[in-house]
Amino acid sequence: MSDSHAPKFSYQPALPIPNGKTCLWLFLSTEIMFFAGLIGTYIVLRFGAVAWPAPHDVHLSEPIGAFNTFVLICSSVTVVLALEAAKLNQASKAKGWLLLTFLLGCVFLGVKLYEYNAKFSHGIYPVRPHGLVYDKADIHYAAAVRKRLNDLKTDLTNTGAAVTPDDQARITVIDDVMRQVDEAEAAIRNEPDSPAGVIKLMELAYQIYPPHDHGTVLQAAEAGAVPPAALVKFAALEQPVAGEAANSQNAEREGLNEKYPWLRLPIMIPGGPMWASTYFLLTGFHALHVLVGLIVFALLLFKTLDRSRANVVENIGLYWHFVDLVWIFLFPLLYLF
Amino acid sequence: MSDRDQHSEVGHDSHEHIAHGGNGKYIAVFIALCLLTMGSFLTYFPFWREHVPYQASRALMLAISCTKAMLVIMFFMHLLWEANWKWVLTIPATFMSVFLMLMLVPDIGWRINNGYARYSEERWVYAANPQKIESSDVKAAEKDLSREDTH
Amino acid sequence: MSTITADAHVHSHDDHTHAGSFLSTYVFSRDHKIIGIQFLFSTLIWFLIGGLLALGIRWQLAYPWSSMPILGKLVYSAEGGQIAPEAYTMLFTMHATVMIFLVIIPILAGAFGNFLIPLMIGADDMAFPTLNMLSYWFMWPAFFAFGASFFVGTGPASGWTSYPPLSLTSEAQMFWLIGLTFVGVSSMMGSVNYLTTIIQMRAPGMTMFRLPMTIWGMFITAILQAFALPVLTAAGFMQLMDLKLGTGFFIPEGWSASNSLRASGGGQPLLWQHLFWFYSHPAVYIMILPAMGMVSDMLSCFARKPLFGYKPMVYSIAGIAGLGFIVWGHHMFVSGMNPVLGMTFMVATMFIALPSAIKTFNWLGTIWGSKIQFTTPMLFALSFVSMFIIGGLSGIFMAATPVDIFIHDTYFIVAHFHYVLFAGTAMAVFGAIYFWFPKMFGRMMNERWGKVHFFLTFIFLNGVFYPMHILGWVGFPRRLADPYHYETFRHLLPLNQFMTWCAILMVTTQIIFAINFFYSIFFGPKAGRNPWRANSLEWQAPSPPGHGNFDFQPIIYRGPYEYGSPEVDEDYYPQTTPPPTDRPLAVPAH
Repeated sequence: MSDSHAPKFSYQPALPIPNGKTCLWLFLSTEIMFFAGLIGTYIVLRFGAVAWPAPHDVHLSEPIGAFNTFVLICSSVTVVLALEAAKLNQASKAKGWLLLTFLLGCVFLGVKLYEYNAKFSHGIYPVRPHGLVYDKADIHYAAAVRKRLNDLKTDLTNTGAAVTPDDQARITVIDDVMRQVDEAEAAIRNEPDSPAGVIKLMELAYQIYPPHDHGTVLQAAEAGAVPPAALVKFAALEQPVAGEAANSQNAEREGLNEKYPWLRLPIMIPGGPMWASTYFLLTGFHALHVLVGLIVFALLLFKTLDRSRANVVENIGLYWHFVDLVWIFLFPLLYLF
Repeated sequence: MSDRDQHSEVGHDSHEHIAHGGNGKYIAVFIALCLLTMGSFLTYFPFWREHVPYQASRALMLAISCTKAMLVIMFFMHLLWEANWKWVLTIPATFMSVFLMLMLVPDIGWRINNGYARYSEERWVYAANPQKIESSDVKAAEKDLSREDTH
Repeated sequence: MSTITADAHVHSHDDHTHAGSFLSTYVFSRDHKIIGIQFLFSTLIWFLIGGLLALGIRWQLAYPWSSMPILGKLVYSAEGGQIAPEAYTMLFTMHATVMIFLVIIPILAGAFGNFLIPLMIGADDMAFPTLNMLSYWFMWPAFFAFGASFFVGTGPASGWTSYPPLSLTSEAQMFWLIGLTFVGVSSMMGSVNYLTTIIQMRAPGMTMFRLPMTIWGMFITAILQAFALPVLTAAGFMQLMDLKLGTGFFIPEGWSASNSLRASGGGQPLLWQHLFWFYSHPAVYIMILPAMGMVSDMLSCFARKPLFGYKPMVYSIAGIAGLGFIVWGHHMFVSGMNPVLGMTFMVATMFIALPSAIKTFNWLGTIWGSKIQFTTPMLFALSFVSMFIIGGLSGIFMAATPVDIFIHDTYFIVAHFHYVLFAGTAMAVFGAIYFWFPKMFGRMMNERWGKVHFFLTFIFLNGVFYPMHILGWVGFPRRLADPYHYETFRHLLPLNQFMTWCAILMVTTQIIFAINFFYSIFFGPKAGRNPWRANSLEWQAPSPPGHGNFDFQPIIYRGPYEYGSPEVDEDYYPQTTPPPTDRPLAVPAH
């Protein structure tokens, strides 16, 4: 002790655990509340939502999620084994387990990045003021499609160079979609009380980005699964139009956006914007916690993990288990519900 | 923060017998966790979805998640072997987080089906998964419809 | 559980080395006392800023659309000193924000919590000194963010509650939310540190039920912060994402701003209100419980009597905190909340009157029949009790949903929370500064000028805030730049002018305090270790305490309120004084 002024006091601790662990448990309880806020938000928004996309509509793969769950469970075991090794003063063994934990955490994040990429490549992510994903096929959606088509066409025609056959093919596609937008908008403008225009828009939206899973809305409407009140404006859906539309839907599952990747038209996923908001919120904050854990692991790997550091390993282990715990709830909620 | 060398006596004792318990129980818990994950993943397969109502699968998944969480907390986080302070810390946190979520439900979770705050029903038309619509919704909607007709 | 470990030091010993340089001793200090004083000075500066913002509001209400002298001329020179409607909105938004997030919460938990906790429990420092230092330095990004938000557009103008979707229309709100997040992180660091310190680093013999009420207040406050704040942080991140990233958590369906549709997702503005008040209702207890604790200590000390009903006081603090978590909905009675919830929250809110009443009765019981020493801190403590009764009773009005629906958007609410927060907490804080000043700086503050400061502040604060009750019953709306637009309210202008002049005089009165404060730091009479002849542990340490706080190993033999004990000749009996008998007193099991 270099400072004689400060005597070494004795204390009367209430808990039979080191201060670091006390602090960490308190921190974890604040983290419980943090994730309670996030998960609670997700639950009420999701079950209060009128529409929610099926996993395949938003390129969410359950097997990949299950694999990631498995990875995190493995890493939980390895970190607890590292702790036991450190307690027994087996430093190199502890380091081995910790290294394995670190690698498993990296695998988790890598898979997460792959999953994110699957969404990003289809334009499913929130952007301000508005991303590519629209909740429903209304006039805002039509305007967004029109704007994108206009931009594309301007790019193609204003180059000054001669129009190549390739460009000509693109212009044909653009004009074809534009014609449908025009028709739909004209129908909405001329007969505001009739559902014809909205049905046209929906058909267009399904051409651009067909639903991947379950029945389409039109089929559902045919089956009577949609509440009649909701169909007040769409009485015509009860007519054979719906059946035709549904048939043509099934015939062609590949959307325009997939067929012509350069098109990148706005897409309609019912509940899609809110899904993207909550999905990236929950998985993003979870991934941030994983990242923090990985940084601490990386720092610890440069130390000797003997008995004297067992407490540090225990504390970071507790944190890591908590991160695992959050994922245990996130996996079914986000992927399987 | 070098609190590593001031492990209090009681703390040491409580950990000592765990160490002697061996790593077998961790492996057992690990296997249990994997099996439970498989259990909730079963709901993914079409044959399950065809035969089990989604409410039952959701209840099952939640139960499995809670079981997994308890396993992790009890064994991996060593709460099984801790002194009574664990209750002081975990029970209020659990209570409050559950309470927060429950209190959000009447206002936001029930917004589309609470009898008076129905909003934007037309969005039903765009639902990708219309099987989820409850029969009560249909009834309420029909009531609305008939009211509109009488006007 | 009663094991006393001799070597339970947590932080490495080089924490105690005098590094010598000015920077490490006074700026990036890890000593809890320096950090506490840093918090004190920072928050007092923001207190001044918040007070000036309040004057702007008052000016507009007394002399609507007229040119504001001095301040208005400086700030709104382009408008000739006139306060524009959006500037008025900014003024009340930032007045509340500054006072709540940058003054009251940090001055109670940051300044007094930091300074007093280790001293009162017999620790040499906080459990984690570096974390403690970080908790102060994380306030600075918040200071900068809130400060910067003044200069973005017309400033944040959606109230301190930042209700979407209004809050999502303003760019300044980004800085506001960033500031909020940093305050949250700082408070979170502080609270886990305080909790660990209080749980693990009490001196031998200092059982939980021998802690002074101040520490109990800080302890329960830290629990509230630890559990409630993360929810607000989560909600703050969500609103930040709504604002900047295009998510739609709080954006109602079909909401468009600047002619473009924003995230048509079916988010819920009400969700923000729930999450916000889940924190911010406990936060109003965060803003009063430490003050209650400090007042209890001052009352007992200057009444020279034991605190009446120590354990009921502790239980009622805990009860207030517990109930505080399940009543947030009473801020939302007029928000369109589900009436089922409204009923639940109303009943739970009514219950809070119980522990609050227990506390008030115990304070009265403490001073009952005693020879009160009317020192400056005691005057402030007494005024806290009386003003808290007014503020508390008006709170019961609002707990009842039907009444609240009428008065919610009127000045009655403003009267209520200013009686609790200014006449209550701020007065307690003034008292606490007078009380612990000798321990902080080793010198006494001037008593005579302290009393002048007290009486003037007390008179003027009632002049400002009492008429607000009357305004509220008449229906005078809050958060409106020009209520006189409605003919109904025109006759209230003279009353508002009276209130404004009281407010101006009240702010001016604080000059006395400022001069007294800074003069006494350098030229005040030297204080000994125990100028108030108080019992609690911090008065046994040197004034001001050096590194490591105590020059002896504190061992505690009794609770902190043994005034007038028959065992000793003096009328006080410090916690560390061994009992007179030769019989060795066992350190009681916890």
